Amino acid sequence: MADRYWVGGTGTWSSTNTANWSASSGGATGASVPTASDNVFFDVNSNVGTGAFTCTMANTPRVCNDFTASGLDGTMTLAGSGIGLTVSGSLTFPATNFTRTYTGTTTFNATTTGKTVTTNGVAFGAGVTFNGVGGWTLGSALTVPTGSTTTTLTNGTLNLASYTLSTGLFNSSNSNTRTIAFGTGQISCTGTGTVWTTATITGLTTTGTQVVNVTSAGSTAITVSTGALSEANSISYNFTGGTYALTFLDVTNYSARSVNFTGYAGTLAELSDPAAAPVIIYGDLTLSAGMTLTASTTGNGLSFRKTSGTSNITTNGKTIPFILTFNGVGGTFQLQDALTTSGATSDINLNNGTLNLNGKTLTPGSTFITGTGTKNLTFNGGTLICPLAVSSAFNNFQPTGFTTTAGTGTGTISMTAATAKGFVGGGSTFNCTLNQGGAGALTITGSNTFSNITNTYKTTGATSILFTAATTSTFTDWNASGESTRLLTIGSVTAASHTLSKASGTVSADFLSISRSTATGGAGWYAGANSTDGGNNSGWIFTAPPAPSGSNSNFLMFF
Amino acid sequence: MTMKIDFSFSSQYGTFSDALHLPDDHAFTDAEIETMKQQRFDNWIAVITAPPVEETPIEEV
Repeated sequence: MADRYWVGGTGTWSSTNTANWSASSGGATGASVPTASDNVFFDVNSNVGTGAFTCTMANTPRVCNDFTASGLDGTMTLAGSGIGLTVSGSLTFPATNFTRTYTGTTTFNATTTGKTVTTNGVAFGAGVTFNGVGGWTLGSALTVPTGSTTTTLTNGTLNLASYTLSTGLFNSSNSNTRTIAFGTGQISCTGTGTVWTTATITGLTTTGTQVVNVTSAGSTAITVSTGALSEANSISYNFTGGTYALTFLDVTNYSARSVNFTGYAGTLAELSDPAAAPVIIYGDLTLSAGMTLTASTTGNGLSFRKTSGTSNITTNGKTIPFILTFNGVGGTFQLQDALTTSGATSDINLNNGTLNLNGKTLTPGSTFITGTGTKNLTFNGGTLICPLAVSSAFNNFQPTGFTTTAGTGTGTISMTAATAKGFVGGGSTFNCTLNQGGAGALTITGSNTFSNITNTYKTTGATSILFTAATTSTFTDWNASGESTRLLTIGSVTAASHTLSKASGTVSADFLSISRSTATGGAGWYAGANSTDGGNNSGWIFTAPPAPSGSNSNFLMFF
Repeated sequence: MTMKIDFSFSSQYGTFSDALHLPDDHAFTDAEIETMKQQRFDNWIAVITAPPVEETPIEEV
C-alpha cells in the first residue's frame, strides 16, 4: 500500500499517466498510477498556486484504496464522462472547493470494516454500489440522483449512522451476507418503477430505526418489494405523496414494520397473492383519506403481527376491502379511529394479542372470528358492530385463550343485521353489553357470561333474542326490553328450554314475549306488566317490579 | 403535527365512534368538520346496512 498525491493541477487520471502523481504532497511527479491498494490524496499542493484544476478520470474504472480530497485552496473538479470510481477504502469529499462532474458508477468494495463515506453535500452523478464483505459508515448524508439511478447494497454492511441516504432506487435483493444499519438515519427513494427491493432477503439484516421514505410524486407506477423480513428486520415505509399506482405487500408473507400513507393519493394494488398466508405489518398502519384500496379477490389480506408494545391503526375514514387478522403474540393493536372492512372477504380475525377498540367502532364487513391463540378484546368504551346476516356473524370459533376486558366505559357488541344472525359465544365471558341492534332474530349460542344485554332496535320495531336450548347465559345486568307494539321475543331456538341467570338484584323489563325460558340465579326476574307469557317459562314474574322499599312512605305533609 | 377530534353518533345499530386526524394548522371551518363527521357516519351506515353475503372464512396459517 502506498500513498499517491495529485500534483500539477489539471491533468488526466488514466491507467498510464504518471505526470500528476507524486509519492508526497507537492513532491516530484512520476509516481506510479494508484492501484486499488493505494491511497490517493488531493490537497493544498495539488494545484498550481491557488488556481482551479480538473482531474479528469479515464479508463474506467479508476481505482484506489482511500480517496481523500481535503484542504484544497483552489476549486477542484473531479471529471470523467461515464468513468466509474472504485474505492476499496474510505472516501472523503471536501465541503468546499470541490465539484464532482464524473458520471460513472461509484463502487465501494472494501473487504474490511471501519470504512467511511463522507461526501459533505457533494452528490454523486450516477449509481452507487456497495459490494464487499466490509463495512461503510456514512460521515454525512449521501445523495444519489433521483429517477432511475440505483443505490445497490450487494454485500457488506452499510451504516447510515444518523444520516439520510437519498436515491432514486434502492436494491439489496440477493443472497449475500449484508446489513443495512439505519442507526437513526433514513433512506429516501424518489424514483419510478421498483424504487425499493429487498425481495430476496436471504442474508439480509437490518438494525436501528429502519425507515424508508418513498418520496416519489406524480402518477408513474411504483413498486416497493419488501421481501418477507422478520419482525426484527422489518422496515417502516412512509409514502408521502403522489397519485401513482402502488404495488406493495403483494406477495405472501411480504412484510413491513409501520406503514404510513399520509399524503399519498394513488391506488394501492390488491394486497397479498392467492395463497393461504397474508402479508404482514409489524407496526402501525396509517391510511390516507385520499388513497384508494383495491378489494381482495383471492388473497388472505393483511395480518398485524406486532409482538410487543402497541400497534396503532388509523384509517382516516377509509373502508378496508380485505381480510384483517390480528395475530401478534403479546402485542396490542389499538384503533385510533373507526375501523371498517367491507366486501365478501373482509373478515376480521383475532388470533393472538390484544385488540383494543380504544373507544372506537370496529365493523367487520364479513364475520368477526377468533382463531387459535391467546387473544383479548378490550373495549374501553368501544363498540364491535357485527352487521352480517349469518349464523356466525360473531364467531368465537376458538374460545380457548379468549378473554375480554371492559376497560374504561362500557363496551358493546352490537348485532345489527336486518335478518337472522348469530352470536357464537363459545362459552366465554364477555365483559361488555351484547346488543340486539337489528330486526333479524339474534341467536346466541353457548353458555356465555355477559355484563349486560340490551335491545336498541326497540325504537324501530319488534325483534327476537333466541338462546340455544340447554344453555345457561349469565348476566350481571339485563336491560333488554321491547316497547309498546314492538315486543322483544325471548325464546329458545328449539322446542326446549334455556336458562338465564343473574346472581342478585332485580331485572326490570317490559314488553317481552317470553317462552321456554328459565330465569334463575338469585335475582328477581320481572318481565313487566306488559309482557306476555308464551309458556314453558320458569322464574319469570310477569309484573312490574315492586317499588323500591320506602318509596311511598317517605313524604312531606304540609298543614 | 396533527390533532385528533373524537366523535360519536348513536344509531339503532349501536354507537359509531370515530376520530378525525387533521393538521394542527388546518383551515377547515366548524361546519366543514361537522360535514366530515357526518360523511364518516353515512359511509359506515352504508356498509353495515348492506353487508355482503358470507363466504367460507379463511383461518390464517
